Amino acid sequence: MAPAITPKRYTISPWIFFAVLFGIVIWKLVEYHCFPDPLVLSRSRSQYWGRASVGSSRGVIRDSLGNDLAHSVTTSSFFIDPMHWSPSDAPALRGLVPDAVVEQISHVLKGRYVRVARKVSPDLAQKILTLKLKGLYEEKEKKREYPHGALLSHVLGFCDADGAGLSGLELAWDSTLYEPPGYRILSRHARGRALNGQRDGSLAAVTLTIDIRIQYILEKRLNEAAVQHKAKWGAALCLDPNTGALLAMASWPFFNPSNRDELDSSSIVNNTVGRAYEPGSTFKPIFMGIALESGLVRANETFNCPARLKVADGFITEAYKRAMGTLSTAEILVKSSNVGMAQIGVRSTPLDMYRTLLTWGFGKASDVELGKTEKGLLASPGQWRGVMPANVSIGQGIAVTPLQLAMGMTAVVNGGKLLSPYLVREAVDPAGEVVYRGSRHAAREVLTPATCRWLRTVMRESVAVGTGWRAETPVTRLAGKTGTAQVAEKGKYVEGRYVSSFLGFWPYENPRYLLLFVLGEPSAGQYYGGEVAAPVVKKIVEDMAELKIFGSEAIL
Amino acid sequence: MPSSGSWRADSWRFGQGSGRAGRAGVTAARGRRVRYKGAAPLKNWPLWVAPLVLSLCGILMIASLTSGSAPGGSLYGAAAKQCRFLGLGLLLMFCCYLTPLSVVRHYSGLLWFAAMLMAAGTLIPGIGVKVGGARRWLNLLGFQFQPLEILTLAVPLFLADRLTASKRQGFQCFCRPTLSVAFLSALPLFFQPNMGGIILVFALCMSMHVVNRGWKYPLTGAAFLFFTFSLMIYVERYRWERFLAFLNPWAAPTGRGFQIIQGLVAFSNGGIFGVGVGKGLQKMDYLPAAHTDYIFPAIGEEFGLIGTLFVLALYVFWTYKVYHIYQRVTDPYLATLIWGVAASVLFPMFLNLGGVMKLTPLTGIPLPFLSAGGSAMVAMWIKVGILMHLGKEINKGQAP
Repeated sequence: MAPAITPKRYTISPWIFFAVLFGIVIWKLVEYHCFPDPLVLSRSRSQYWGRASVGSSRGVIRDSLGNDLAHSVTTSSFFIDPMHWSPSDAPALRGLVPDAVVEQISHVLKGRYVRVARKVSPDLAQKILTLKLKGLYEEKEKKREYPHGALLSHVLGFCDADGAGLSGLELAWDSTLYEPPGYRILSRHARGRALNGQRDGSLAAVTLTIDIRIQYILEKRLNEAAVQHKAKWGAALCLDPNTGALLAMASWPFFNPSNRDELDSSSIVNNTVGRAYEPGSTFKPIFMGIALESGLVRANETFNCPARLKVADGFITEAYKRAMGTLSTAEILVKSSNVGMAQIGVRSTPLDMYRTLLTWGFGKASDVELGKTEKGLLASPGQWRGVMPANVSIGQGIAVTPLQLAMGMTAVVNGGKLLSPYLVREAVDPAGEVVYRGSRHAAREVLTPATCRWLRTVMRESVAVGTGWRAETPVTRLAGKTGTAQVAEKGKYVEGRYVSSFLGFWPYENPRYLLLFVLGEPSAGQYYGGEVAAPVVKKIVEDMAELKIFGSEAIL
Repeated sequence: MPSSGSWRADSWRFGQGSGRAGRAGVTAARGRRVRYKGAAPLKNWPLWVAPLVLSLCGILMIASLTSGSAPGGSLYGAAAKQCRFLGLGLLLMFCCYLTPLSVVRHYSGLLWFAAMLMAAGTLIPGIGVKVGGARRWLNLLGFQFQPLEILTLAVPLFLADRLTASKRQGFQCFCRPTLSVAFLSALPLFFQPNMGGIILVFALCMSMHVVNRGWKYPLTGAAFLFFTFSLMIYVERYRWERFLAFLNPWAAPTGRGFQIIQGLVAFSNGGIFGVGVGKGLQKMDYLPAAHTDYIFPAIGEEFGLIGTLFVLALYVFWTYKVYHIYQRVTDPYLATLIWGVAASVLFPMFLNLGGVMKLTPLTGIPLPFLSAGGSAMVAMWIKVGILMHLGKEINKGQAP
C-alpha cells in the first residue's frame, strides 16, 4: 500500500510533448493577437496606408471662342518604395530612365520614396508599367500645357514644376486656377499597382476676351515686321473701343512657355503693359482732344509752321526738317506737324495738363487683370518747364505703355468715354463658382462727342491723305495716326533710335476695333511710323477681313 | 491504491511485454476512469469530421485570399482546385478505411521504397521540378506532387513494422531499423535540399523509436543531431541567414525578416475578432504564400484569435481522439503505428505553426488540411483513413 514499498517508475508519455507544444502555440497566439510587439504594431499602422498626395491641379484658360489656351494634362511619374524594391530589377529600366537613376536604384535604398522619373510621356509610362516591377509605383501628376505654343504666352505666363503660377495670368489668377495639393488616405498594395491620387479635372476656368484668330494675326505680323526691321522690341494691341475688351495682346520677342529652359528674362516682359515708351505722334490726337476741350485751341485756327521752333530752352523740329507753311488745326494732325502741336502745347498750364493727363490714366498703372503693370512716366508739374509742355504735346517727355495709349484712344473713338481695359470675361474657381465677370467700365467722360467726331474725321484724313497713307486698305475705312518717337538716352534724344508706331481704328463710321502697333528701335534703315508700322497695320486689317472676323457691311 | 497509477500509456515499455493488462484499471488516485479493452465503443467520427472542417476552412480561406488577385486563372481557381483534391482525399480515405491492416503492413516496405525512389527522382532534371532554388517537386505522368508527402506517409507504416519485428535490442535496434530508415529517407531530401523535410523525417523516426523502445538513444541522437544541424546551418549561407531571420526578423525587415514580420503583423491586425472574411490587407502581397505556408496568419488576420483558436481547437480535438485510440491498443505495432501516423500529421503542423509564429526557423512545410496543395491534402486524408480503420478494428475488439 505504501508508495515506498513498490519503487515507482515515472515515465513520460510522448503525447505530453504534443500537449506542451499546443500550450506554447496557444500562449503565443494570444500574445501575437492581443499583445503584439510595438514594432509589429507600428509596421501594421504604416505599411498599408499611404498618405498619397493628391497632385495639385490647375484650371483651364480659354479664349473668348472657347479654345483652350492653357490646360493641365495628367502625366505619369514613377517612384520606388525601397521596402518592396529589389535592386536586381534595376537593369530592366535601362533605356527608359536616365542611366544615373538606374545606377542609383541598383543599390539597396533607404526610406520609402525614391523618385525615378517625373512627368514622362504616356508612351514611356506604358512601357515602364508593362514591366510590372515590384516596388515601382506610378504616381499621376498634372503638367501644364499650352496647346497653342507661344501664342499669347506673355499674357498667359507660365507655372513652376509644381503648378504654381509664376507670371502673367497664371500668376495674377493663381488663387482661382490653382487647386492646392491635398492628401488622400489610400490603401497600398504591396505589388504596388494603384497609388493614384489624382483629381479628375478641375472646374476652375478663366475665360478671356482674347480672340485667338486676331491674336494669331497680330503675332504673325508683329514677328514679320520685327524681323524685317530688326527691331529691338515690339507690341501690338487690339481691343474693342466700345467696351474696353482686349481682343489681342502681342509682345515681341516671343517665348515658349512649354520650353522654359531657353527662357530669356528679357523676352518674358509683356511689352503691352510692362514697357513704357515715349509715344510720339500717336499721342497727338489725345493731346489735341484735351486742348480742344479745355479751349486752348479752336478747330478753325491756323498756325504758321516753320521747320524749327525755339521753345524756351529747346527746339521743336519737324520730322522731315522742312517747313510746312500755314496749317489748320486739322492739318497739324493730318500732316503730324510737331511745330504746330508745340504751339498748342505751350498754351497749356502745366498743372492743369498734368491733372488732365492723370485723369486719362497716364502715369498710373492700368486696371487690367494682369497683375502688376508699368505706370509709365508722367513728369510732376514742377518738372513742366521750358520745352517740356511742347514736348508732351508731340508725345515726347511722357512715357506710356501701349495699353495706356490705346485705352486713352478709346475715349476718342467711342465718343468721349474713357474705358477701363478688361481681359477676363469670366473666372470660375475650383468649386465651380463664378468669382469674377469682366465687363465694360467707363471710368469717366473726358471728351465731348463733337470733339471726338472732329478727331475721328481728322484721323481718317491722316490715313486717307496724310502720313498714314500706307495703311489705307480697300477692305474697310481705316482711321489712324502714325507715330515716330525718339528714344531718350540719359536725358538726351539720340539720333537713330526711334519707336515707330501706328494707332488706328475701324470701321471709321462705326468703330469696332482699335489697334495699336508699336515697333521699338527698328534698325534696318526705315523708322518712320508711316513707313514701318502703317503697312503692317494694313496687312493686319486685311488678314482680319480675310478671316471674316469683321463683316464686309462696312466696306464701301 | 494501485502504486502503478502512472500514465497508462507508458508506451516505452510496449515491446517488453510486461503485463500491461494488469495495470489497465481505474486510476483512482486521479479519479479518472480508464476504459477496459472491449468497453463502450470509441466514437471515431471526430477523426474525419475535424479534418473535414479544417479542410473546408482552408478552402474558404484560399478563396478569400486568392479572390483579389486571381493571377492568370479564374476567380476561385485555387479554391476549386483544393475542392477537387479534398474530394480525391476523401475517396482515398474511404479506400484506406476499408483496406485491411495486414495489406498495409505487407506492402509498407514497398511503399517506403517507392517513396524513396520518388524523393530521389526529384533530383533527376527531367522529372524533378525546381521551384525557388530547391527541387522538391516531381512531375510524373502529368501529375505534379511532393514526394515528401508520400515519404511521411510511408515512413510510419514501414518503421512501425520494422521496429516491432526487429529482435535487436538497445543501440543495435536504434541503428537498425530506426537510424537507417531515417538516414535513407532523409538522403534524397538532403540533396533537394529540404531542411524541413529532413527535420520531419528524423523527428518521426526518433519519436517512433521512443514509443517503441524508449527515450535513451533518441535523446542522445537528438543532441548529436542538434550539433549536426548547427554545423549545416553554419556552412550554408542562405540557411544561416534564414536562421538569423527567425531569431531577429527586425534585423532585415525588408529582406529575410519580411515574411516573418508580415506574419506577425497579420496576427496583430486580426486582434481578437479579426477584420472579417475577405477584408484582410496582408494578402495584398505583404504575406508571401498567404494561401499555402502562411495560411495560419491569414486566418489570424481575417478571423482573429477566435479563428486561430478554433483551428487549433480542431487539431487538439483530433489529437485527443487519436490519443484515445492509442490508449486502447495493447499491441506494440499498433501503438507505434498510431503514434507514427498521428505524428506525421502533427509534426508538420507544429513545424508550420512554429515557423509562422517565430518559434522555429521557416521550413516551407504546409499546414495539414488547411494549406493549398494537392499532394499534402491527399496524403493527410490517407493518414486519416488509416487511423479510422484502426479505430474500427479496435471497436471490433480484434486487434489484427
